[in-house]
Amino acid sequence: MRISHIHSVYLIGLATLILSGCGTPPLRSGQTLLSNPFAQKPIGETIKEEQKSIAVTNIFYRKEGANLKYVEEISNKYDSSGVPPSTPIDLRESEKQPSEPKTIDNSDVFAESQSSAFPIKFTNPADFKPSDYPGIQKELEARLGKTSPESASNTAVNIASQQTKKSGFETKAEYGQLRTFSAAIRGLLIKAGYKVVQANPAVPTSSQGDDFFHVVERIKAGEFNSADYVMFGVLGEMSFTDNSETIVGTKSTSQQIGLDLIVDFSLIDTKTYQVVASFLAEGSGKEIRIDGRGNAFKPSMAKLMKQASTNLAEDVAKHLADQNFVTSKIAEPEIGRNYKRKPYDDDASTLKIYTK
Amino acid sequence: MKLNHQKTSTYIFSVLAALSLAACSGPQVRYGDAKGVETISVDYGSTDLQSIAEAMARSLLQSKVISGSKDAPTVTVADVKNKTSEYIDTRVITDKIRTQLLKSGQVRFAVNINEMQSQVDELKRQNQSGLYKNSTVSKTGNMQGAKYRIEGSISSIIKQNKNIKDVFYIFNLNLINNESGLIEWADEKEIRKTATR
Repeated sequence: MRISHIHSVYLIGLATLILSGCGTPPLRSGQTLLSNPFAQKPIGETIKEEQKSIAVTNIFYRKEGANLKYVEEISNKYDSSGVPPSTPIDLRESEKQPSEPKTIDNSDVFAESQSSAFPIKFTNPADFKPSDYPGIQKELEARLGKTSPESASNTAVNIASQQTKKSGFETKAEYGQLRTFSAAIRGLLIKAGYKVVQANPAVPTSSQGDDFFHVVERIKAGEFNSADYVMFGVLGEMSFTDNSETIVGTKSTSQQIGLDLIVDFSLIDTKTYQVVASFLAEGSGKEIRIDGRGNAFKPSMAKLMKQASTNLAEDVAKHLADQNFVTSKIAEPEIGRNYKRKPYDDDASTLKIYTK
Repeated sequence: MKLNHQKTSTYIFSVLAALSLAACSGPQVRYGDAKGVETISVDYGSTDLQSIAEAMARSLLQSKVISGSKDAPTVTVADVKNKTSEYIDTRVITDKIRTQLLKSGQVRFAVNINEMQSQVDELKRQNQSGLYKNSTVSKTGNMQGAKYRIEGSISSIIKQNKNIKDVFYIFNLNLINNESGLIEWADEKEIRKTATR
């Protein structure tokens, strides 16, 4: 009888343990029963907890420029005994046509190309007169061994000449980094409690191509000092504006000088090369001068750049918070208290003097 | 007997002197009730001004736009057109409405177009004279734009014959959302005044 009582106590205890193991753990405060996908912990929080580091690059840019080019070529063929095979004569190296005072570029942009969209051919030999081209005249004289134009005209020579004119735009690209606009972003991440490491500056080569923006290659090359994340920014557009407007209801005008930039940011995990966050951030600096145009006001570029940089960092913070990378605390500006005042409940028509 | 006659003449003289002094002193001045009903003529008067302003302010404060707003919305006063044949200073009406709304604490007002010159001059003085400490300067470019504007009109219909003159005033006011262009609130106040001989 005594044994069965001990057995029953033992069984009850065992059953309680099994039941407690199967049961759901008690909910903590703030925890919901259903898993909320939007209630995930921000990645930034995880980074903070694990003491991971972020490298913020300077803002990379590619600046394109286009120049109008005009190239003119002429080549001649001589069909005469004892005359060497034809070699093209480039007008760029000789003299220009006297009747067409056009600029001829000395660059070799189109020089290697023999085809042209609009080649001009002298099909009628009467159209071409060597005397019109002193350079050709000289070369003819040298090759034929003649000294005077008269003697040259007496020689039986078949000349085929081809003149080519080409025009178009030559684009040139310049690669580099803007160093002024990243400091505020680094400061923002430091303020948020993250470990920010310095990235090595990227130096473009003389024949730099678009591989300048190949951030994965840079990560592999170890340019970010073994940072866990790289914040990589490429300048989309940067513009400087200067506008003047009249202020309605006044005799004054308002001159608005602005510096605006758009930067394409990507936050990349250096281990997996996964893009953790990606967005287009905007920064703008503005200086307003009342009646500034009339007084020939000159804006301070330093002030505009500082404003644009701070504004860009604020926008970056907002996007990082939107994409769950940082907590929204650093992204949200301070909200002023509700304005609602206590309405006056007494009659204001009588003068009252309040003393402390 | 002679003494009595002398007393009487002195009395008459002093009464006459007092009357002549009173005649020289001009019209009598007294304070009246500013909110008292004025019925001197059928023309637009102080009672009309007060009743219009009070009705409009009360109606506006009861509107959903104002009473249902989380924060005190920013409003500016635009034009109130006078379409009557009388001279009516409509700014007095809007100023009175604005005062009553501001006293309620439920609305904030941005400076209107008539007050812009002084606002611009002040900003220019503070920002561009170089005389002020930078941290205390009210910076250019931080003025708050009004979310709503108030505009309206006052019109009248006058009819009269030999013995009767009837004037009908209608004052209407609209609250317009500056961004969307939607008229969020509108109300009107009608006043009829009749004068008989």
